[in-house]
Amino acid sequence: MNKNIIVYLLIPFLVSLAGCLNGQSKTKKMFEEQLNEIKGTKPYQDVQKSANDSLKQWLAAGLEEVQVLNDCNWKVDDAVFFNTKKDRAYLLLLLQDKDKEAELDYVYVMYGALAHEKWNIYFLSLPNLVFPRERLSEDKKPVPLEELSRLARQEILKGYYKGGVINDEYVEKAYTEELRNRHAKFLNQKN
Amino acid sequence: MRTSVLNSIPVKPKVPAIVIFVNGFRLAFPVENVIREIRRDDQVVSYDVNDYWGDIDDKFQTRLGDQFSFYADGDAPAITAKNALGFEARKQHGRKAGFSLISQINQINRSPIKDRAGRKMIWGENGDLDLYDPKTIPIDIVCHSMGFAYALGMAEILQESGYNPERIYALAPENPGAGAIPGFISESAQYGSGPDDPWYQQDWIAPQERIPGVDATIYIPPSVPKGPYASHSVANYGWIFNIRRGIQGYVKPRGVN
Repeated sequence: MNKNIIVYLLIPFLVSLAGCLNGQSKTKKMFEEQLNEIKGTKPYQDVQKSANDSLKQWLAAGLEEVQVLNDCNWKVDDAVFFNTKKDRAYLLLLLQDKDKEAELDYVYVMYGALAHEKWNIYFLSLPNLVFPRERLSEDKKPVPLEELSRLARQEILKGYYKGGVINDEYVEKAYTEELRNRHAKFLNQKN
Repeated sequence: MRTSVLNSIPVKPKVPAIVIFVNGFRLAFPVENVIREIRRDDQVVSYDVNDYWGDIDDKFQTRLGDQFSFYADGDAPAITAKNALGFEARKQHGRKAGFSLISQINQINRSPIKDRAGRKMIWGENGDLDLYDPKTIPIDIVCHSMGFAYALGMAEILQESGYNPERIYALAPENPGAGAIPGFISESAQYGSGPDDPWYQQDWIAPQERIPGVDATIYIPPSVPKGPYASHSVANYGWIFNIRRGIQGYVKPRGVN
């Protein structure tokens, strides 16, 4: 009798879990197709260039919050999560700690907003994703950048599509006055 | 998870600063919960009287290097969760706890007992509070779950009374969108499950969203137990101390950038 109850409880759980996993691989495929389509476009190339240029500029200017990049292998990920109008986007900054003894590697979520035909990149205020080496790589080696990219994309994709289309509200909700104020404060900080 | 990063930090001599640990909901039988609420006095104490924090409080205090510590009980009935009215009620209780803390600091500070050994015997490490002007030393607040609203109330009173609340670290804060990090706080971080995590990884006790005004938001990493309860449990937040210096969400030792 008890066994039956467990089976009856397990069935909906497993069905629901399978549904979630299937949904994950669907959105991943959708995003990969979308990314291949937009890679050659002007908005994609412009926002990628702005992100890379901004980071290098902030590093050179000695802005405190960015200096950690000197201690990491870093890369702006190829993935750009645009809204439908392609004037707002999430970007991913992959950070692999150079310290061999480090326990964690990271991905910063950054934000891009198009204003007067220029992309502004926002470095702070969005989540920092943390990835333990112990779990994600052999012998606690740094988590490969490709793996950081895959896991971080997975995180953003949890909310990026809704009903099979881009969830604009999810992308645009991060563009707040607080984000802009914090960025202004960030630009005024020197190491 | 190992804590080699924590251990590898050169631990400086403790600095004159106060850290306050504000716990959240404590499990109780229904009647016990009501009695607890009736008997609530919002008194701050010098040790983890409810044995709530495991070793997380020690890890925070070691990392921060704060010499003094106090504990506040932000526990409240579950009915105050997930609604603005309950959040405000807990914040008001936190304001009372803020007054209790000020009263205790001043009591220790102005006590006629001058013998160092005697002071240590009565107040432990906090006995050395008389060596400083309490209004000049920084105050850090570490809160968990329902303790978030309570912590905001404490921070408000401390600031209004001329004290120096500087940092807030919120672990799985309850109803995080109902409050905001006050402008006078110079550093803050929120740790918890991702708001878009699948249901089986979400924190069901305190569903997460970003605290308005918080400096850094850090999601629970993949290797840490995640689930309706696991994502909330304070014992599962030791990974915070493996975040490297310079990364958003790093708990900065005092005197070190």
